[in-house]
Amino acid sequence: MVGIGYRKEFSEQLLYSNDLRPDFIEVAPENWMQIGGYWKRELHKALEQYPLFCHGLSLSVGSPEGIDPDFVRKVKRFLEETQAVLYSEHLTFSKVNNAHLYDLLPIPFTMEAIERVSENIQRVQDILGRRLILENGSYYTVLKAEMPEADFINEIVRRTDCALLLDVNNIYVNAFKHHYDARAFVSQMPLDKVQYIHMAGHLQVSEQLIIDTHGADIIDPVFDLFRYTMGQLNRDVPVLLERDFNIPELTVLQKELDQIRAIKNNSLKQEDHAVNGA
Amino acid sequence: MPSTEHNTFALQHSLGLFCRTGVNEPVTSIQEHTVHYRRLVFNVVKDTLKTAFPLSRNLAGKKKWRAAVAYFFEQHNCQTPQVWRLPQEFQEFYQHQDFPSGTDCLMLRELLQYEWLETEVFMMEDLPVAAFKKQPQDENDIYVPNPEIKILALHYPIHTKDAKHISETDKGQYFVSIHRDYETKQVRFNDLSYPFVELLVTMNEQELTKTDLIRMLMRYESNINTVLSVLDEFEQFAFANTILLGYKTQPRT
Repeated sequence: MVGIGYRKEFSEQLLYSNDLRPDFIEVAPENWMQIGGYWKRELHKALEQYPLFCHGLSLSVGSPEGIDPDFVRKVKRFLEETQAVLYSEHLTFSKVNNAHLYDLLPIPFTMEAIERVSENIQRVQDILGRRLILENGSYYTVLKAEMPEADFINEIVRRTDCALLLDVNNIYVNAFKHHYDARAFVSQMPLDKVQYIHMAGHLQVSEQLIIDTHGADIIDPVFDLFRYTMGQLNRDVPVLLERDFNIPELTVLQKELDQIRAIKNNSLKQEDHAVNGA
Repeated sequence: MPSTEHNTFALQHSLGLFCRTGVNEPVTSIQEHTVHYRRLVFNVVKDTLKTAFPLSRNLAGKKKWRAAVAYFFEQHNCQTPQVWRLPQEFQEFYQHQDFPSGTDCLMLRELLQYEWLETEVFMMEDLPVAAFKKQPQDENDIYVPNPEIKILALHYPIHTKDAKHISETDKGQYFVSIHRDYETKQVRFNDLSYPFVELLVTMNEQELTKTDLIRMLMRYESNINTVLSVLDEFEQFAFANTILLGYKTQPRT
């Protein structure tokens, strides 16, 4: 399956034209839960045509003060109402000192953080009654690192049995900014836990800095890294194209969806050949 | 070795505070990138509030508005996990204190409330509506109002005039209804007289028939012909705007 982030900017065209033909749509529950009126009606029309994947923004599993159980219960209600296929979030923090910050900040790669994050994830999973899927975040700088990011992620996944959303663009962007080998990082991930992949474009601000804007076309090196990731995974996983700003004609987005699908299918076909030939 | 207990959390707190205030930048691995977090976080807040309050921002002026946004974000612990609800916290914050520029303006406070209500009514959860018929079946039928409505009492006519052209001579008592159209789900605003406000508020609190409305209007006007004419005007206005949706029949006892 290859999906698209559902945007208000193109909701009507998605519903009433054939310009964009995703297999599923994804929304942030925060923007759609506890609402009514026009946008609730539009979302429900979309749900008649497409399965829903949910990708949250405000859970803040990295918060030192813990998670907000009331909020998680509201998310759970939304997931049930919309029969969401899955719910993913970010391995970051967006709330600290009892204040929401509305962006994704990097958790220090420390044992202390692993312990608190693991507690937070367990609590979320207990309330939701489902396994949480966490995305590797993109980060511009590191507050503190007692270990490499890959070890940090592996330890959290091991302790909590959560699943992983691999954001291929984030890996590319982080490897560029922090000077590591993106392919080696993919190989170090607990790939058996990967349940979802995100693909997106980014903005190179300077020679040293790329910002994960979701506002541009996917560049070839990110497609190459995706091809490598699919080869390492050896199995089918749903993939989402994220495009939040500078949204082009939907036919342009459809071409990107087609390209993602082609890479995925080609990778799975090669795997079939390898199995049948063995 | 020095104790590192909770050092992680202290670092997270310091980055959070830096994002809110822009001062006391924490030490990080790539120092020149740290400022991007402050920029990105503040931009989300700034853009959300700019989109929610175009009229208030215009009245305050860009410089004072930016200072008000920065002060709010520094001083207030944002509680909502849903960023589209943040404007509510902003307008509530400034109902209780002046803008940091010293601007103490009742009209600005009313404008903030008015603009937030537009968002709130547009986004609010659907409220249950009783089954209704468009035409009355009986003279004792009960009006079915649109429950998705808010009524705001104002000292300045910000709903009918450009706020920059309103002066102290305009000060008075005004009422505006802000409701979600039953069919299109778009928000509509209506300037209301006090008797109409009373009718709308009461019919959203209790079941009313035409006779009840006549009785209420008779408190303002003793001439029955005038009352019937006003009621007719009210019905036409309320049905045309989907403030009234129809009628339901009284249960027989």
